[in-house]
Amino acid sequence: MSKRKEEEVLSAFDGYDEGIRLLLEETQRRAEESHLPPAVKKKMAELKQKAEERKRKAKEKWEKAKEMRVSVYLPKTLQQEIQEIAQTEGTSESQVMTYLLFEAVERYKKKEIGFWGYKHPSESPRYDFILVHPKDTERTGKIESRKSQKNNWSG
Amino acid sequence: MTKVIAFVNQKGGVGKTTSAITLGHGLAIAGRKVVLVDGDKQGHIERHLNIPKKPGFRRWFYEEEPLEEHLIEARPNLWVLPGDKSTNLVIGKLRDEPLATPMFVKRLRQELEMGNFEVGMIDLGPGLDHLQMAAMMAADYVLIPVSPRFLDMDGVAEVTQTMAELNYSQGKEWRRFIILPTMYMRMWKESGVRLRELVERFGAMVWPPIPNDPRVVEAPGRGKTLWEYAAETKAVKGIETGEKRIGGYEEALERLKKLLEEG
Repeated sequence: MSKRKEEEVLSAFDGYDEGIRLLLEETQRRAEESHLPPAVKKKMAELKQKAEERKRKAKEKWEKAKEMRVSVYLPKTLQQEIQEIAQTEGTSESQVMTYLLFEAVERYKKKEIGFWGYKHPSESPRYDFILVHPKDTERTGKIESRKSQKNNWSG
Repeated sequence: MTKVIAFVNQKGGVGKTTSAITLGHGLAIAGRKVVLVDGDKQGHIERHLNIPKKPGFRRWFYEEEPLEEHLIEARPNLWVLPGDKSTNLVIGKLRDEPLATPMFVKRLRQELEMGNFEVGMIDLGPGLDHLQMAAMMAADYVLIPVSPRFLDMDGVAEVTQTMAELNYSQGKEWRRFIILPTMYMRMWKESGVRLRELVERFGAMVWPPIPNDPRVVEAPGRGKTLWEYAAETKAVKGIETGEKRIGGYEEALERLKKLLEEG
C-alpha cells in the first residue's frame, strides 16, 4: 500500500462525523438527565413541553402566514419609501403595503387611476404589455434603451 | 468503470437487503445504471421488489451462463440478478474449486463492465462463508449495515477482521469500507452506547444512522422500495434534531454518490 493511500485510510478512522457527534451529545445529555432528582426532572419535562408548545404554535403561525405571502419585484426607491412610512407610522412594511394597495385598488376600480400612456408593448410570450410607473426609473431606463436599440437596427 | 459494493454482515436482520435496495434504487432514480445481485438464498430482493424468485445467480455462476441473460429490469435503471435456494450451489462451487473465487471476481466485474453498468451491488445473506469472501474480493467498497445492539456489534468485528485477513493473505485493497448503523432508536440508551463504541473504533468510517422506522418493515409487503412507499418517512429523511436532520437513507445516498464520483 502506498504511503499516501495508507494515510488516506488511516485518516478515515480519525474524528467523528458531525451528525453523529450531535447524536452522541444528545445521548450523553439524556444519560446525565436520568440521574437528576425527580423534582428537577419534572421541572425540566415541563419546560421542555412548554418549549415544544411554543415551537408548535410558531410553526402553525408561520404555516398560516405562508398562504398570504407573495414575492413581487419592487424598485429600490419604492422599498425605501415604504420602509420610511412604516418607521414613521410605527408599523410593519407588510401592513403599510397592504393599506396602500387596498386604497390604490379601490381608486383603480373607480377609474381614478388609469394605466393609459404607461403601457408599452412587451416581447414576453406571457404578457402583452410592460406597465411602467413614471417614477420607476429602473424600468423606464430599460424601456428607453430597448427603444433606442430598435431605432438603431431599423436605421 | 463499474463500481462494486458488497453489503456484508454475518449477523442477519440488520438491514443489508433494505439498504442495498434503497440505495440501489436511489442511485437508479438519480440516473445511474445499477445491478443488484441477490447473493442471499432467501431471495428477499425479489420479494421486496415484487419480481419472481429465479435461479439467476446459480445459472450465471454455477452453469456459467452470461449475466445479461438472467438480469431482470425491476425498475427503470435498476436491474436484478435474482437468487433462490439454489444459490447454495454457488457457495459449494466457491468452496470446492480452488480457482472459483478469482473466476467469480473476474466474471462479475467484466460482465458488469460489458453491460455498461455503473454500479453493482451484491446483497449477501447472513454469514461469512465463501460467497461473502468472494463478494468482498470483487468489491471496491464494503458496506456493513449494523443495528447498534450488543450482539449485532460482533458481526462488524468479524467482517472487518476478515477484511484484514483478506488484505494480508490475498493483498486485497478496498477503496473504503462503510459502517451504516441501522434501526437506530434515539430514545434507547443502548443505541447511543453502541453507536459511541462504533465511532470510537472506526471514526469517520461510521456514517450517520438510519432511524428505526416501522415503514421500513411495511415496504416489502407492498412490493415497493422506500422511495416509492414512504419517501418522507424518517428512515429516509433522518432524525430531526432542532434545525438539522441527521442520517437517513437520503443522506447515505448523497454520501454514496459523492464517494462514487470521487472514484
